[in-house]
Amino acid sequence: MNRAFKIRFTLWLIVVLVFVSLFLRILFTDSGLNTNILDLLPKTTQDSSVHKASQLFTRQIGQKIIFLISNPNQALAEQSADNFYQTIAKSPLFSTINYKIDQLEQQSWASLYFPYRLSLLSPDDQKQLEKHNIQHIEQSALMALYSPIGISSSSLLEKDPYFNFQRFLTTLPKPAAVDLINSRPMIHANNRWYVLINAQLEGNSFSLENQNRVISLIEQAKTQALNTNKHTQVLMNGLIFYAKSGADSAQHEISTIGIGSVLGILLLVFLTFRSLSPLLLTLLSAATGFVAAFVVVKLYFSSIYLFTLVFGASLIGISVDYAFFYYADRLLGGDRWQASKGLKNIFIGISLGLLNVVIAYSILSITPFPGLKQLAVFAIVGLSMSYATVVCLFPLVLKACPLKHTPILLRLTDANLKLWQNIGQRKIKLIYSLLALVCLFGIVQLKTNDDIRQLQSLPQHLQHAEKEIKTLIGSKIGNRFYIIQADSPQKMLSKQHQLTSLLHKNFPEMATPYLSLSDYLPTAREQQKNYDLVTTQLIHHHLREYLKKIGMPPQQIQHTAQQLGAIKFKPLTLETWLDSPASKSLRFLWLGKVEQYYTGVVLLSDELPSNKLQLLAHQVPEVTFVDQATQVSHVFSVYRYHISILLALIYIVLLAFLVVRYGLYQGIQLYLPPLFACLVSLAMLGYLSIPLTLFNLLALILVLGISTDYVLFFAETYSSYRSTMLATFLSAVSTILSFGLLSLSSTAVIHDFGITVLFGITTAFILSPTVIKEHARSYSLRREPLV
Amino acid sequence: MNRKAIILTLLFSFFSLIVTNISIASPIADQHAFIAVQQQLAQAKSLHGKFTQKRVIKVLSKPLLSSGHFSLSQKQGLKWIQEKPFPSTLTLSSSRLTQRIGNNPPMVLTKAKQPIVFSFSKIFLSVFKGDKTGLNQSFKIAFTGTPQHWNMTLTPKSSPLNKAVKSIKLSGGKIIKQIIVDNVKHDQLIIKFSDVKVTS
Repeated sequence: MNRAFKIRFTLWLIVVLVFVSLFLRILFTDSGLNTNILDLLPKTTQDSSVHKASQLFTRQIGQKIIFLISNPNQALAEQSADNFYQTIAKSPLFSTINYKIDQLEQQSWASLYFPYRLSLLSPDDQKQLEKHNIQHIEQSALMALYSPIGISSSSLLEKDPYFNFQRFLTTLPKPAAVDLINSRPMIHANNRWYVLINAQLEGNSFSLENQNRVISLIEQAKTQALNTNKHTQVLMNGLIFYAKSGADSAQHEISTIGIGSVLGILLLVFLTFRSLSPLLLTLLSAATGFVAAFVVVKLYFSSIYLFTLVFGASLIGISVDYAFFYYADRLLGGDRWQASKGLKNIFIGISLGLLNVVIAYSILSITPFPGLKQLAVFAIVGLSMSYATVVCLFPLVLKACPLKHTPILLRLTDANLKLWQNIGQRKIKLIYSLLALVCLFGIVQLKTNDDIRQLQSLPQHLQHAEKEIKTLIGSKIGNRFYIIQADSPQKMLSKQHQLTSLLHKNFPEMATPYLSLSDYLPTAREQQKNYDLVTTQLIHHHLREYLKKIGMPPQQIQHTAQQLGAIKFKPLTLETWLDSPASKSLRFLWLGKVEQYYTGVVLLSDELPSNKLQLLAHQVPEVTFVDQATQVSHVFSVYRYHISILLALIYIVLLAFLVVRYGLYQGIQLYLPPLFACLVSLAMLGYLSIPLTLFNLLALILVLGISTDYVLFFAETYSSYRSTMLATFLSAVSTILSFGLLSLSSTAVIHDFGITVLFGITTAFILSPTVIKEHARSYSLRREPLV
Repeated sequence: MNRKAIILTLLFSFFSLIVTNISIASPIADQHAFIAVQQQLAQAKSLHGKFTQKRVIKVLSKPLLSSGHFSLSQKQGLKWIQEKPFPSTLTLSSSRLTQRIGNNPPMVLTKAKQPIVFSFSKIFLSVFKGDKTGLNQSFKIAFTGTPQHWNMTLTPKSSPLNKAVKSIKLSGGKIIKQIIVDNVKHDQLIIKFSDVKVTS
């Protein structure tokens, strides 16, 4: 054994051991995996306190579940709901469950506000009093007194003579069109009685373990409800159901597709090499690459994005090429094959292959996007390590393994090679011209799409249930919201008022454009203003006259006026409001102190346009509009734009590189297969009406890397095209098995990625032998093989 | 007057109050009459006539008297036109309430914006229309008499309605003649109808 090989191996071993130990340490302490896709945006656009508040709130609403239990018969609906409730009530999986509303709770709204009644006015009353329109107030009071549907009584007349408080209470917005019947929140619609149960989960909706526990409990409760009566139905909505369904389908797909592709590759390698050791060594080279990349990214960036990991894993598709190339060379090397000579045969090919990827990803890392930087570092480190494994380890363990049989795959690749060697340059040019035309027609049909809402393929039945529930409870409130920050709770409240009045002004036709606690609590300043209006204009001036007019005896007037006059101003504070049982269902809109700011949330209706909402956010200081779907879509579109520019740039650099090394004619000839791999992929997307997304482009980078490897391997082959053809085939089939099979996925993103790889790699594989003939003529004659 | 009573009274308006179980506390013979009356009331596509209303509020030395005419139709709901002591108009459908004094601009409440108001008006419309399911949800119904001359007493079944209203007594023959609402605190509302014409 060569001394140089030993030194190289020792160095490699040290490096690998260091990486593995670091990897294990990271794994057992903190993997620091970052699943937040918004973090992929350049840092300046994200403020940490806003970010924290939005995460806090998103997590909270992600833990909400709504159940509607229904039956055509009211009593049976109630009974079914009771049975359902009993099953879930005992479980520690829910932190709160809102179901029956007892008398105390029913009274809580009126009890909360009553002591502050002189400071609370309905919007209309406030407007009239500001205009000194006492007559209007009096008329409204008379209307209430005389109306057959008016609610007036002795006690009311004494405590709230102008019915201001009554009007305040009745004009408070009601978050949902739900009635309280027999202490249960109910809806009567479509000839059915629906009973509402609101629950808040204790654990995370994305935790698989929690999902399984919660769903099985709910199934149990559902059975209880359905056993009550066969006409009972249960509707439910919550993020956890979507998360569970996503996890289930991902798990299902990964296991079927994953097992399928692993079996396929195993079979492929076994059929060709009649031994499993090549596979293990190939996996080892990929694994060392992954471990090294993970460790370097983790140490350099401190946290690693899920995004990096998922697409970084696609590097395996490139890294196995080096090993396959080595193996193919050995297979066809005969008895006297030597590992060191074999390495020399492939060294330039795989080195150029690596160089090509390093250049491609270096270009990617110039962008200001943290996600792309990480991906680039991950790719460069990972591939270099895989390459190092092939170069340093393989020569020591590979022994000559003469061909005792002609594997079926080799026969196939030989046939393919022969086919291409018999096609003349003229015909090849014709093929390319036709292909160019086909590509052109496909590419002009290409559309782009970055909308996460369309990329996510949400299960129909869940979306249907969500829509039905929203229609029933009459709520258009969605997932978009404003975050309002201020130095004090009071300031936060007044900003919310500013914001909600802007919303009303901009969307006057909408009944409930938002859900905000400010609608239930005027600011202290507003309360003081109301109090002053009521006391000076009504109580001190017109009250006695009014009471006399409606027939109250003088003594009673004196008593009533004195009682009301004795009420001192005391504002209803946010703290008091939050402490009351009345605010229970709205309290989630208050986040408390997040970092240095008091923070509240205004949830918005699905019907409001995002761009307008974004503009309104700029009109009030420290207000941030949060629309995660749009933000994620924005991240996607920005990334898509940058990657497409970079991809074009990489193709230009590749052309330059090929021309410099191989001359103009050969360079272009070598350039065509990778170029067409990309163009055919794009064209197929156009023909199949699949929109171009970030994920297709990431797949194209993979296609570019692999297809360039193919042509470089052919270009740098001096001994046997058979081995190159075989290596190319193995690489193509394994790439298609591991990534192309993803096109069977029902998840749009994964499907898109898979289908792009499938078309790109297939094209690259088919076209790569076009570089042979001319090259064989010119180069192999001119140069001595490097053996 | 205690605070609790006020709060409860207010709640009367704050939540809708509907109860299960159809429980008609009447002898079998009366049930037929009740059903007949139900049909009589429900058959009417529209009716219109005059009313006089007396609201007795204990703290006031004299009752509040008003009178005018009204119409009730399946389509448009209730129109309540008060002529004395001051002119005002109230129209009430299942989703819209308009109140107007003299020639002032009307005050409009819609169910979409103020659903709470409609929780109570739903009951009122049920009483007025003789809407069986609506009434059964909220009240125990005691019925006596014949389809020509009957009395019906509605007693609220549950909280919070029963904390405010003691009973609602309806009486009539072919059409409804009188409504008396007794408040638990001895306040009272009496509405009498006359010259009522029915279109079926």
